[in-house]
Amino acid sequence: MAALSSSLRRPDAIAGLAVTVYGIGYAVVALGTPEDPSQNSVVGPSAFPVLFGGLLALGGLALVARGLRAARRRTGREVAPSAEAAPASPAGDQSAEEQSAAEQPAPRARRSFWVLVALLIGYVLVFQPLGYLVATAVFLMALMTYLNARRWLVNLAFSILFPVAVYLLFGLVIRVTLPTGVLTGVLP
Amino acid sequence: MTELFASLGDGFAQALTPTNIAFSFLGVLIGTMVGVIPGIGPTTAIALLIPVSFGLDPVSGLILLCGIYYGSMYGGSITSILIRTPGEIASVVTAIDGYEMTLRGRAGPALATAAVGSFIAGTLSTVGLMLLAPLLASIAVAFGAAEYFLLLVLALIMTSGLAGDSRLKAAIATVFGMSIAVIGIDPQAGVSRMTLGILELDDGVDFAIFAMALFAIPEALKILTGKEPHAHARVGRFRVTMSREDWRRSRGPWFRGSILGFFVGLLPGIGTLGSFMSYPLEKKLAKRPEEFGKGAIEAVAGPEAANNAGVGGGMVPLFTLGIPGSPTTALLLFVFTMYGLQPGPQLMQDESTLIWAIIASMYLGNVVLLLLNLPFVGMFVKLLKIPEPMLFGGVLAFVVLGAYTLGFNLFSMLIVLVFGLVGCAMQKFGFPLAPAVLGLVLEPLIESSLRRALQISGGDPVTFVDSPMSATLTALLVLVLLGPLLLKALRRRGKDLGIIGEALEGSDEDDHLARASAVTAAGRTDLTAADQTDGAATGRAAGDPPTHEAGPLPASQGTGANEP
Repeated sequence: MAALSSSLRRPDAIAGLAVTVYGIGYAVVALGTPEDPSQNSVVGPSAFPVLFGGLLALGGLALVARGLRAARRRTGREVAPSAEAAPASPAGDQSAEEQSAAEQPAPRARRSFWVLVALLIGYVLVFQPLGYLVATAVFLMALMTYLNARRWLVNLAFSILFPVAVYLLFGLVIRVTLPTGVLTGVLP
Repeated sequence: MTELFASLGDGFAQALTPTNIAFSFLGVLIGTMVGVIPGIGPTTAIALLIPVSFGLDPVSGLILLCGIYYGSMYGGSITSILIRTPGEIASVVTAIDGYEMTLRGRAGPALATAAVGSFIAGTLSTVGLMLLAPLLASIAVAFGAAEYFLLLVLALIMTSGLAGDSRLKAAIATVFGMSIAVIGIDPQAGVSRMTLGILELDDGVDFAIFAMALFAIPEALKILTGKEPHAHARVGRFRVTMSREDWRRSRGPWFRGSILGFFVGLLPGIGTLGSFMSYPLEKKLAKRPEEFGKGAIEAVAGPEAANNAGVGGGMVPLFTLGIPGSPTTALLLFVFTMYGLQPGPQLMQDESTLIWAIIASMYLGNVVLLLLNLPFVGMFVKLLKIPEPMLFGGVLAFVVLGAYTLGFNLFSMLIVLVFGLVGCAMQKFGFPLAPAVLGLVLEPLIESSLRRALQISGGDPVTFVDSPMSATLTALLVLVLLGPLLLKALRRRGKDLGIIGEALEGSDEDDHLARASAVTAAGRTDLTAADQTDGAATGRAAGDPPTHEAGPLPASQGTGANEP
């Protein structure tokens, strides 16, 4: 449990850092906001943005501080019990095992996460050029094959039926035209 | 009073046309189907389905969306009860005893009591809305810009304070949402802000895109990457009926839950907690409180009623003041503005027929919900059997599509992905998502009301305390802001006193986070398995009055959205 907790503390500091960076960057851009050309308003265009940027920077710093403080506290706690556990090595091994067990599934999940993100980006990029039907079918097929290649026939069926159904729904019921892409001229 | 019924009659006349009845039906149907998808709750469902309401006239569109709202809430209840996967915070309480009932083969009665309770609550709360709204609207006219500003800030603070993990992170999430809202052309000055020269950003970031990206994408990705094993529908056959005994035991909770849920729903931010309050209330009043946590039907009836009543309650501030109290009502606010309508006292007067049509459709939606769900639950349950890659692949495809329909360009779709990644990061680092959405919606209102207030007063800040209403609001604001800090300071003082300090240290936020995250990391199947073998564990957790860190069900589910 201590192993899990300590690995949670650093993220706070990292998150805090990211927030601070965002806040500062945001405030800097905000300061460049042109002033109100017409009236002189009490609260100009740059007021709120700068405020938000500033608040975020401060909040981020507070988060960093909290993360570092808690990390130090946890490390302090870990030192004591592991010192006691040193003579009884099984206990020490167990906590190391816990830690690696908790981290083991992570790399695979992380990889599939980024693969999915890449698929999404690809989908978005080909959405208009290929047209809704083709792009969606390809996206779904790729996604499902990546996740579960065995049921390829079902996957294929779904990859075709889903976009067709949606296309009809949007075309006929909602009256929104979706891009036809490479199928232009083929479709009504 | 007669005028009231006359207006309602007009509303029904509009709402009960064949087309609109069909839309209500469709809305409830689609809403339930989408709500049944694990991890997808009312907010996400509405966000995803907003594009579907395009091209419809306001009445039909809003009727459709109301149907979707009710439907998705019930869909969320279905998953809570059957597979212990609440889609939103509001369903968390239902999952406690509801799932226990399923384990004991009583899924049918659980679903039935949820359906009937939802119907009763929805109807009663609509009555409440009907009676209260005109009253409140007449008071609201007395609200000046200053009062409005204070009320908005108060609502925002209360809503963001709701997040379970950490007040600091909730605050950061809120301000982040507000920082995104600024992007675009300043309505007062007419200059572009924070757009970095990108033309497409002049219109700002579409709220629906933000909501979809923040809620649906992280959830879908999380499930698809297998980080979130969810119990598969362990449902055999069941019939959605209740015994006479069940009816008897559910009656009281239904009515109490409705009243409780409605009044709690009136308050921004707190509105979602109706079910959390109903549980301990029912437990106290129950004949056999020891059954709570092991499948007591009262524990499902009360909270479910409270949930749905909260929907009606939440509509009151939305219609009368234009103030959304939750991400879902914020979405509805967005839909209103999309149709060119500005909710508030003005709207109640100008567009009263529309408002009454919507109210009438809420009655209608409730009826449809009952008619549809009692016999057809089995059909919805089948949806749970669809393999995850298909289900969530479809969700992701729908998100991209939704983004496209909101901008018809590549940029909108890229934006949705960008915010989707932001949402993933937020979830991973323990930031609540709902406050960000609320920040996004409320920022324009806050900014404009502040500006108006100062403009009227000529820059004089006295305007925020010079009327009894504004003075009260300011006082409340100060209280809400400083209260928690004071408490924390008092606790710190206690820490210095040795032993007391030890006891208090164990209860601080960091440990809650660690506990909740450790539970999440261990995987929910672990939890389910453990709870099956040791019913006492659930009993114990359920025995404590559920706080917003609700027992074993991890906060990460809740970060999906606050509801209703």
